Amino acid sequence: MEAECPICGSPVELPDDVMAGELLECPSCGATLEVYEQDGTFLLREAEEIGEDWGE
Amino acid sequence: MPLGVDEVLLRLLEAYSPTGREDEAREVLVEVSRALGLNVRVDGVGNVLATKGGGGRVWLVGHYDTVPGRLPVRKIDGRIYGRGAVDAKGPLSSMLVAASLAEAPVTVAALVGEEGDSRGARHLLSGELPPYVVIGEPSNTTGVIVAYRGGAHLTLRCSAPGGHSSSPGRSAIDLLLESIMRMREVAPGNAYDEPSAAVTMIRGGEAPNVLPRRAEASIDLRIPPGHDLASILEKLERSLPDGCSLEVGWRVPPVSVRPGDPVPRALMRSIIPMGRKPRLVRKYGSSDMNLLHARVRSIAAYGPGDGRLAHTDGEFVDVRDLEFAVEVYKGAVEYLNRFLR
Repeated sequence: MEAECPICGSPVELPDDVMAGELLECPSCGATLEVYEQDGTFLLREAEEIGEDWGE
Repeated sequence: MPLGVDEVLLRLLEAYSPTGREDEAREVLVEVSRALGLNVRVDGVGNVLATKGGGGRVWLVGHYDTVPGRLPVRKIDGRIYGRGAVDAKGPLSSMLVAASLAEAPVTVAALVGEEGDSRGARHLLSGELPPYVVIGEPSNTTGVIVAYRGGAHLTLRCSAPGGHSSSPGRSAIDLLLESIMRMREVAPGNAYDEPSAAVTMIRGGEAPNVLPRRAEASIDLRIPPGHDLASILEKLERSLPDGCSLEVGWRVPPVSVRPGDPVPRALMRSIIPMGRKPRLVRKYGSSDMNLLHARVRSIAAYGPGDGRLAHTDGEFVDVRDLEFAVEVYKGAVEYLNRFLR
């Protein structure tokens, strides 16, 4: 299963058991993307940037 | 009746366990793990390994030492207070309860020395490690930690000939200050992606009227993923003026994993069905994930509690977050076991 990166347009391979809400990284441009579902199809949109946190 | 996660945490917090003084907490951990129906063994350095179903190939790895500073242990209005409530007895308590409930084999490894020289994690490296590891550190309950900075503890030493302080001459303290300014150029630390060099202790001088012969500073160097520790150390050493040198103590490499790897995915897939949105997080500090990463197939860190409270006197964790984390750890263990088939 594949979806298109909304940032660079590259194809992104989705796992067979992908779930809406999962976050992943575009292997081409490195953007953080969120999986969402529309009409039974899994698509990708830009996600919040990776957050920074203090500590450890 | 099985132990609740709040009760597990309160018992662990009552056993104050700053790094190097973990004996009492170890006994409590063994008792609590057995009460939860887990098999327990203690390894040569004091790590507690609590297993179910033979231990399996998924490990939940936490730590039961804390920074020093005893705090009163209290449960008030659904919050549990005490030293280590956030870092990291809260995550560890959720892991133990999750292991007891999981319908799959699992090991909870409760390590010693994480707040010191990572003695427990280094000992694990001498044996066999499983393919999948979840590290128990606070991530604000919905965060999945995919990166930690690496770092090193440095001792900067400067020396000078000394002399009467009313006369011209070289001072070891002046050299030390100059070294620190030069190190700041190599490691400015203005953002996550820049190496940082925090001066944490400083000593120097012999008398009010003598030019200092010796001066010394402790420096906590941190480096983000994508930087090489050895080359940063080399640049720092080259930046020093004559009369100064650096000694390197504790060190760990930075770590960064892909969100689509099995363990981060397993954690996200456990958070989503509970109606919360997972977040990806990268941490300024480091954890045992930095050391274990190179030896496993996939790893990520997750846990209840606000990481900003770690090492503060205001440490507390919400019982609802502990319970939420139990479900997340349990879901991740079960998913990864299915993944292994």
